[in-house]
Amino acid sequence: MDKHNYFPRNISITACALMLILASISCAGSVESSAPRPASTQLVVEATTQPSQPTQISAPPAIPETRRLTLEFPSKMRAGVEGDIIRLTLEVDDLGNITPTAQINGNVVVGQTIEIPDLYETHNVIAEARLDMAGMEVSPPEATLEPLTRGRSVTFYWSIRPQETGTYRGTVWLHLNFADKSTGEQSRIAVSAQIIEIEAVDFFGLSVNVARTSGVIGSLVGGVFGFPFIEDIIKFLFRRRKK
Amino acid sequence: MNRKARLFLAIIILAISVSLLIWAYSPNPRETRVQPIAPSEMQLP
Repeated sequence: MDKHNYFPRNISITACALMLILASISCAGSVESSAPRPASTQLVVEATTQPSQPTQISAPPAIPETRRLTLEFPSKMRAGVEGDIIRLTLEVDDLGNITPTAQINGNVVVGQTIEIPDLYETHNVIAEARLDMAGMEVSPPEATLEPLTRGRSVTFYWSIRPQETGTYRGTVWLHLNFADKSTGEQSRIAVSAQIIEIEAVDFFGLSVNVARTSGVIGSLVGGVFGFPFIEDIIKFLFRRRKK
Repeated sequence: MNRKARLFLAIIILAISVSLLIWAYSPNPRETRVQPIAPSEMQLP
């Protein structure tokens, strides 16, 4: 009778022990090693009509982060002495994970694991940005270089100043330069080329400086002209309020 | 009548001056474009 009571308990204890052993074995495989590891794996599921074993495909090294390129510029600005800033930021997109893609068209599905090697391990990466805009004062006029490291954002600034009114069109370029750490071999890719349009305006032919000076002088003159009437204005307002 | 004309002139001058100051000191309208870049767009050629 006692044996019957203990029997289910023994089975459950044995099952738990077995599960613990299996869990520890499976976790042992996921311990991080110090050797360079692939940056990410991308699962591509393809459909075929013949059953086959999953294969592994090697892909060229890539930067293991999804990034976000933010371009901020004035769409309209005042012509003349006033300048403004154009900002280009290449930041790490925290929400952007590499998601496995699946394409299913047939009956038998074969999984392929693409291992993308980490580019930061093998190459020095330098972001290069340039602003091409004809007719406008741009500083710096040449390309700007910033080293791109893991998890770090890079920001480029340009100071722009339109001398004349009109519409200015330009292109903001972003390139990535790769230098192989072992061989020194260099390569370059264009990541983005964004066309921007900036409208430089004036105030009915008046430049910013003239408008500001006229505004200040006009306010003083208007204040002096209107000062003797302040009492009348207050009385008028109070009379309207009483009604 | 003279007082009314003077008041009218003062209001006109003040209105124009304030418009000029607002235009001259208002911040420029800015445009922001955000473009996500996947790792596949940042790999070796």
